[in-house]
Amino acid sequence: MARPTRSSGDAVRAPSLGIVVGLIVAAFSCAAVGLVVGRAGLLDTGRDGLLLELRACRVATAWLCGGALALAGAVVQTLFRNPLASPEILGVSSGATLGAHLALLFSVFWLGGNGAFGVAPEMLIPIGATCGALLALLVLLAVMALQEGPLALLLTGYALMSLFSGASAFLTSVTQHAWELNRAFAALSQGDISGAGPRQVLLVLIMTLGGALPVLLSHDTLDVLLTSEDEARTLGVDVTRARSWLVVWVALLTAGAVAVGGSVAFVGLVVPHALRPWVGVRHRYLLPLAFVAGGGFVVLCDVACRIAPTRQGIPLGIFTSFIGAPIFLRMLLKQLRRPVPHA
Amino acid sequence: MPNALRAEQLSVHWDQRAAVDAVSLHVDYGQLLAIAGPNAAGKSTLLKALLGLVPSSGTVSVAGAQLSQLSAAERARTLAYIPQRSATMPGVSVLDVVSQARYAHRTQRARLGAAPSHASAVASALEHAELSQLAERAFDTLSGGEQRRVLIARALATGARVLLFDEPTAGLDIAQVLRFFRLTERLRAEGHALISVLHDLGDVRRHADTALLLDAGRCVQFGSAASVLSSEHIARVYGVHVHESVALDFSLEGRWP
Repeated sequence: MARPTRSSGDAVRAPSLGIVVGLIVAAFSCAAVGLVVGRAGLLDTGRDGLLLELRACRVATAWLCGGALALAGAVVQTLFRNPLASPEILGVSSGATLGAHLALLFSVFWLGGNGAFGVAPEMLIPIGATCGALLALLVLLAVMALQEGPLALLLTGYALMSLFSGASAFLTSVTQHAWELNRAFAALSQGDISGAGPRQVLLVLIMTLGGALPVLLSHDTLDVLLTSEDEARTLGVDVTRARSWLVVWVALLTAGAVAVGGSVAFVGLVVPHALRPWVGVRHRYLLPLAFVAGGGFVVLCDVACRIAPTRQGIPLGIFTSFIGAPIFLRMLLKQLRRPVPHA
Repeated sequence: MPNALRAEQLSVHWDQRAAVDAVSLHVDYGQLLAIAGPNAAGKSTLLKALLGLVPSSGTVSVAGAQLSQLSAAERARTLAYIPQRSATMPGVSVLDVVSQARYAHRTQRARLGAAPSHASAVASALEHAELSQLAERAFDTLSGGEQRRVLIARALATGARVLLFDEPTAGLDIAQVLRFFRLTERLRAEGHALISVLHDLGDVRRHADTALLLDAGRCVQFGSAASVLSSEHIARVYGVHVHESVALDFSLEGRWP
């Protein structure tokens, strides 16, 4: 099939209707596969209703996590003007993971596995993850108020990621005696949506909608941010304000996904980058299609994890890493080989 | 009638050092003001200060309105910047680059009714810069000269009447340079005010109405191009002597559109 956006003579066009429809159909087919495929058949006597509900929750969670991460990735890649950037560089994923670890620790050691302040125990982890992501966000915004520019943001994100990852590793090492807790820590770090229920679906739905809607409405601003910061300013973008808000929406999208699905690696990096040759760089098309494709991709990965021939299945984040890392390396090599534009 | 653009005592400091030191200038509609000077004289920094892209002291007014009082969108509709090269990411089409110019108009709903339609403004700018044939090409695959014309088209599509060019002829062959100056003549005739950083003093003398000679951030002379490019000023700023000689003269053939 010919690529529609960079065809003969390096012409760039909007994605064809066939590509758009094909992507949407493929993504919804992934959801259907997610509902049907598993170790147990949906039509097995006596448990079809329960199984369908569990699968629906799992598929919805996977879809929303994947869509949110892919959308966040598309925005971050434009924000930092680097198609190989990912939401992780903001440190928000690491912050969310650390928050989830702390919430788990608090729940087990201080609350004895019960809820607190009217909050159900299973909701403490998402709330902790959200707090961790917001903490990362507040630090980012504070630094941005002192020093503008993508470099400051990138370096701050890197410092936060190192700090939060180190803190998570410290918590894991000091709780080695508590086997169950350690296992839960590992599930968060490696990405896991096997326990998703209606509450998790609702949480990730609210957070994804909260981040996705303003991002989709910002497609014009993101198109102008494809140029340099100076050019964007002279074209009428209040770059500082736009960047600050986009960081908030990216954090919300990432936090929602990490809170419910743990650290699902490479989705935000690979999906938008893989889509660009097919749908182009215009955010009016790229953003919604990244959401759809990211959702379908994670649902499909989750199905593969579910039917993997191991006793517990494979953690979702590890599986996406197996797929994403080679694709990323291929993209990196392709970018390195790209000829320098002639003068 | 106020000047198209007027700057008073404009200064930019980097780490206590004055990159631009108390420079005053003005340009009227229908005129080309050239900013000349040796390397590191502060020409591009002055241009960025005029656009409000770098922190500066002093005042800049556009058509009588203080630049600092204008919103980002108002500035974009008033002043357009044509950088030497664009850092646009790969894969963006020429049409999309030029369409970016309409951002400032789309964000101002109140003006939408009065503004010409976005599509016609973009099409007109592409035609003006002789780019209609390249509209679907990826910007990053164009030659340097073609990219420069795309950036000019984008500036025209903003609807701004004051255009600021940063070394627009650097790296261009003689035919592209002549096409650029033919375009500036057309823009001046249409009433645009142009400010351009130029390295070639011959171009300054041939095409500019007024000139500003900068050295180490300071204005050495501002006035008519002929008076600014005197032997005395050139010797003082560049440390070279001017020799009157017969130079090769060029003009575009009929095959150029």
